[in-house]
Amino acid sequence: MIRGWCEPVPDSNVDARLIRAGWLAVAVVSALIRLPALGAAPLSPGEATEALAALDNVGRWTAAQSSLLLGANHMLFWLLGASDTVARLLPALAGSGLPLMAWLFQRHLGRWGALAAGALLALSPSLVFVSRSATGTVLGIAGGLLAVGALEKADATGERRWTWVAGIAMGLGVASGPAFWSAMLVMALAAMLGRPTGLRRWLASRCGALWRVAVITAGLASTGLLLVPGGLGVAADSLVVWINGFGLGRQGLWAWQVLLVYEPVLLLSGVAGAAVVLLGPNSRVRLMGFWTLVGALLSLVRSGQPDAPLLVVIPLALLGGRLVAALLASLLAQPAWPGFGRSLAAMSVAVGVLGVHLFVNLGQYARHASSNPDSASASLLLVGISIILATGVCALAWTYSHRLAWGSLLVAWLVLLGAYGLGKAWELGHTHRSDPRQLWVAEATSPGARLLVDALESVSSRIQGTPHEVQVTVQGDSALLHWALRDFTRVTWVEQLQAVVTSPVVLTPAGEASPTLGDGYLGVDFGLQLEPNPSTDVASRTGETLRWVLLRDAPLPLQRDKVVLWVRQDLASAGVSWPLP
Amino acid sequence: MNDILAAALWWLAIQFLGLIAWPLTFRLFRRLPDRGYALSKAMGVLLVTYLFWLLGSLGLLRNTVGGILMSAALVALLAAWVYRRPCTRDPADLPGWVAAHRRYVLAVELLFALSFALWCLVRAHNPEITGTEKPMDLAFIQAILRSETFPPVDPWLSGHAISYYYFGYVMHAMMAKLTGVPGTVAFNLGLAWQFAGTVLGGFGLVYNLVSAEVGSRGKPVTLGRVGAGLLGGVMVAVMGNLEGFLEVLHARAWLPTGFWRWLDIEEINLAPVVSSPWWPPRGGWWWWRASRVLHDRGLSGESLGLQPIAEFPAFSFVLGDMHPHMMALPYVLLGLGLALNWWLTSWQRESTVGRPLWASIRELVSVADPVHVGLYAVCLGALAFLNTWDFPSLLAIAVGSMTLAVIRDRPAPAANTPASGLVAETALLGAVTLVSIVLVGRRLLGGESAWLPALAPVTLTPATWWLFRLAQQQKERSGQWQLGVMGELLVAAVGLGLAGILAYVPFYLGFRSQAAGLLPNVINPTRLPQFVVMFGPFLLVLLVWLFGLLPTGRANWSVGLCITGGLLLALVVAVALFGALAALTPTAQGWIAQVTGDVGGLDSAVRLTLIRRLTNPWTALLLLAMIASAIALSYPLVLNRRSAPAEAGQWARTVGPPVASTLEPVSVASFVLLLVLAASLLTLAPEFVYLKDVFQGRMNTVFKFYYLAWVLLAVSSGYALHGLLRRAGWVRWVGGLGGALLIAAGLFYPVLAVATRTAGRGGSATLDGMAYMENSQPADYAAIRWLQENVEGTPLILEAVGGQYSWGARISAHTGLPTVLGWAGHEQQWRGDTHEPGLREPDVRTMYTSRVWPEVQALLEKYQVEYVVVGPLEISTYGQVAAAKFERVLDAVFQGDGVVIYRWHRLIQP
Repeated sequence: MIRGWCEPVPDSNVDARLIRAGWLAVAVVSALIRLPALGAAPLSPGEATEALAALDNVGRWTAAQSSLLLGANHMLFWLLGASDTVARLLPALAGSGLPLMAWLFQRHLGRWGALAAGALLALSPSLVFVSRSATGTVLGIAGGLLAVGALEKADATGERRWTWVAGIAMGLGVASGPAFWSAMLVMALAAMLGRPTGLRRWLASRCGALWRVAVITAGLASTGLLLVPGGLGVAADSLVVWINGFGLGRQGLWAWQVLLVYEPVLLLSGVAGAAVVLLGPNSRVRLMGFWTLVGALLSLVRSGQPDAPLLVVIPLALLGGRLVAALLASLLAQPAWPGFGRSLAAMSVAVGVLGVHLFVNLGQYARHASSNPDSASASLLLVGISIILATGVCALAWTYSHRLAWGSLLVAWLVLLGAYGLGKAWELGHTHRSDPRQLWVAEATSPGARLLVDALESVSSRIQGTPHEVQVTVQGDSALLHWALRDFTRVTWVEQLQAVVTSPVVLTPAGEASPTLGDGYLGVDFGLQLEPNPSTDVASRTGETLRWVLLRDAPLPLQRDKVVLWVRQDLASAGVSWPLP
Repeated sequence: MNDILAAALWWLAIQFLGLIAWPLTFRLFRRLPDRGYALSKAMGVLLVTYLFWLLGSLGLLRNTVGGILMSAALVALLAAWVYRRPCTRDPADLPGWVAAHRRYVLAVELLFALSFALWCLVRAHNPEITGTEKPMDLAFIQAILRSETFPPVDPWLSGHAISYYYFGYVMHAMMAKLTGVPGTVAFNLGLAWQFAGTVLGGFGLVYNLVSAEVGSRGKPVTLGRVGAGLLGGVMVAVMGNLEGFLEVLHARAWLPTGFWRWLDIEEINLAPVVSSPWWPPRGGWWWWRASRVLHDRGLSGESLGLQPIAEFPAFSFVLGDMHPHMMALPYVLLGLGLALNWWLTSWQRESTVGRPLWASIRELVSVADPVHVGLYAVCLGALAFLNTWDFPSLLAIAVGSMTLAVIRDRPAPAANTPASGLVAETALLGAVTLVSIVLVGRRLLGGESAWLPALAPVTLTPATWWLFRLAQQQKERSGQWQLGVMGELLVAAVGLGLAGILAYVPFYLGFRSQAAGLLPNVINPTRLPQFVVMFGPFLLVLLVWLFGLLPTGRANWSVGLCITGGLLLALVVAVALFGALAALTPTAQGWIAQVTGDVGGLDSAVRLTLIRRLTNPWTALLLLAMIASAIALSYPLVLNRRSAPAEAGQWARTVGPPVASTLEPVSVASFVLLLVLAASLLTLAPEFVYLKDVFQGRMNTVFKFYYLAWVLLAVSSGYALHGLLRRAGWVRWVGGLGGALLIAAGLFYPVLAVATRTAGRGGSATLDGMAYMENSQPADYAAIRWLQENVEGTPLILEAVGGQYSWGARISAHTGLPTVLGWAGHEQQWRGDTHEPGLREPDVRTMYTSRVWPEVQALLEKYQVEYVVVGPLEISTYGQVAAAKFERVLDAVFQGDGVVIYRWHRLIQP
């Protein structure tokens, strides 16, 4: 019975105009979430390394991992100037286009299923986050998805141009960094397990054209259309970085954490959708189930790597979209729709209200867990009551109609979790993009980095009359500082200050004794990075985590990697306002 | 890392590189019976290293594992493309071939594994990277491991790139990086690979020669052919010269004192003294004498200071210096395999009469396959980068092989044979060329500018004239302006040589040679007994084999003697002219004055020189006889063409020449005669001329030429001995038995030398070449380990400058960190001048001894020093080291038992 409900709507019943409008909406929403205010948060150290590699034509920034991003940003910086916004532009564009690639899998998902999958991808907080990061992760994932989708289209239509598209996608993916190799490995293993008939034969017949296009594209993309020859070395080294990313028990982000905290819609719908296809008779669609399974396994052995959660998110979104679309279509296909629809709405509202009640009380519990155990216990009790009542409502609905019961549950939770997910997407992408309390944020740059630049520009304007020409001596060598000071033309980098320092402005790490400066300088510190401020008590940590997830309430992050901006006292006395703004 | 794991990884890496290149090797060597399988490992290592180096030099790749994997992926793609290209000439299928030849494949893999394991075991009992020039070799490897790009930094002259043929070091550093093996272990594993690769190359060549001769009769693989191959491998890589056997005789006093005096090999030209125990004789380094069997004396009879080096592969492996001439061995054998492949190719074409040159050249390239020609250029050109001396010789052999094969397969008899008048013109032009060289050489003798650019127009002018005359003769015959076969081959040869040079342009741009022209060898002909000690086993086998070819009755002795006579005349004229012109230069005049002063005047010197030359002509005569025989005997073999050419108008390509699995019986004797000819020329040349270098003698010329001649003679002898043993009559007994006895005598050397080198080793075996330092130099050992573990990149260090073969520059050698100045003498050899080293040595002394900090600081900044080492060697070299200044100003980042490392903080380069 369930399988019957879970099959896609036959294409003959689909309204093409609605579908097109839906894809347009997906594109617009995807772009609206990803593109605005790309430069709102300062670049993280990893992003700064990638950006500096693009600015310096690799140079000493050999830790960069994406030669495609390097080459593209090299050209974009030349055209538009080097800034945080421009550094993130290409990943944002690629991330905006990624949800549309679900269209390539219509043969597996159905047209409504593909559209639903596209919507889920567009609203996925994880994808929003990586789309707004100046790294090659989303480029690699998008390249892999496009390559597989294009191969799928080529198989479906027999059109040669899709082979070319697949080759180009593979070439771009090779140049994009380690994430692409993960994507390819997952899909290759899934294909081996799924054994789709004719695919291997088809691939063998088109191997020559595919590889030729891929190799040429990879060569051009890696070297930034030959403008950044050193990018080929970056592409080569990214393979080694990818290999070194395998390991068990590493510190860092786990895929299940991401799914629980950020992707509950995908977790529920995707897992259910994967189970349905794995157990179903359709071998073509079963391949996507294997894709999910392999992605989940691979994410376990690549824990801590930024591509690991995405290996699960993508296939879950596709299969979740398929399932959701099928279920909704099944609901809509009820013969006595108007009446059924009213009942469904009423039940959904009831369940939804109880769901909201559940969330609120869960939040209350999180708020009071450590400070007021009695109140926390009461909240927990209310949570239990919400669950019982919701179950009761559903049971009542079940007595009237099975479809009514699960339909109301489905609609309510889709709306609630969808709203939750949308909030998380906005939070990860915009409001808390650089907050170390977010699981996705491995390295958080403090707003102090921008304040430091503002202060330096102010000092320079007062001393030199221009914002970037003051002489600065920097003790240190971090990528963050190099990126922050990229516009300053007279920066001297030293490992240690000399016996006598005469530079008008000096930056030193905070906490280190600076005897050479003595009383001749006045200083103020700025934090460059942020780190979480966890409690030591496990129970409190759980409460804190819940409080943060539900209420965005947690101890403020701590500043670290502080630097002190020193200004020579005679200049400070001569009109540079002190303390600095 | 555990030694066994390291060795296993190294073996795996070579297998991996060989396997990815195997499809390409399979197609490239389609004429060889074994399809180049025995040479595929060397091919794989060479191609991957080439791409890795080239793309690194162009800034496209970095010196990282990712760069190596990318290069390997590109080679794999190339191999797949070459293999899958549609080619009617080679329909063979790789899996099918492997299935049909699995015994051979197994034999090759077993031989490789056993020889690799054997030499790992030998090195594990003699791993120390100390003495002779091993520190220099290690320094190069470590420096390449640290360099981010190519060309790599020179570890012993900071701020400069290596000015040496360093390709072999790149190969070993690349494999070290790929396997994660430390440089001091990679050194010994690299030696084991060199040994195994040379054994495999010798095996493969002789096996192919023998199998090509037999054709497709019998089973694809027979024990006899494998045995012949094994013999080839042993003769190339394992067997030594007869000096080892003579050492035993001398130690046991089994021959009279007169014999030893007559033989006049240093250290054993004294009366033997039997002691107990009699082994090892004369101390631990008796085995060194095998590389110094030639004994040059001045006119007054005194031994010269620098004796010619007569080294051979087994000596190199026993000594354990990872030098270019040794590293090039597997690739020299690869080059010989390429030459043999061309000999076995069918060059049948339509008649070239009436066809323009460019069309003829294009057809020639098309028969060879343009892609294959490109690969030939890369493989042969690599020899210049590995060991420059080998490149022109192997190029000549490859081109010579192609020339003989093209003439053999020419479409019409005698249509393109040069007329006798043209030969006379050639001789005259050759003399003109020689005079031109001499005139240029006169400048060189004065130590002036580089000679190669000057020589180029001088040699090309007569060649161009010769080509014009060839075309003119063709015009007279056919009414068309065209070069004919000889001209086409010359143009193709020049093209191949240029392509081989162009493929390695980044190397040539940064390379400065110490070579500075040619000088005559007037007073030191090689004595025949010493020559026989060196090449005895080969000489007997080859002479009997040559003699055995005589009864064929078709040798053209007039051509052989004519060419040989012309060659002798040219050499004598060259010596006379060079000598006369040399007498005009101040340097030579000083030498002449010294020599004549020792013997009482110029008249006496001339008389003694003539007497010496006339009483010691035997080596030259023997070699000239071998040259004449090789030319005379190959003449009819070359004229004896394959099956009749296709009908006029039919293009031979569509007919399809024979593939490896159905070989027509082809005589490879001509190819072997070509090798004999080349070896004879190589050993004849130092009898009359040598290359001027910093050593001011023929030491280096004999060294390089004899080394290559050994390889050629060993391969030839392996083939010849197999042929002799299959014949009947006295030839079989004399050649076979005699050769076997002499080979057995030659095996005395490696067995006893290895036993000596590995004897008395206390403690456990290890492949780590610096493990010994833990006990003998604990302070330096700790400091080196700290630097290896804690310092990344290539910051400069300051340490004591060392003389050649000394302990100086030991930190730099073991870490790869560049130092201000290492072995000054070697830098002079590599760069041909003393200017820069001469400036730096006093500066290093100042930095250590001066008490004036600003002066020291200025020098530290000038050379961009980051780490200063103060240890026992610095104190013993510079006396009272003003260490107080370092302690006051710099941070002591390491303090061991007697060694302190200070750090000087510099500006970070943006």
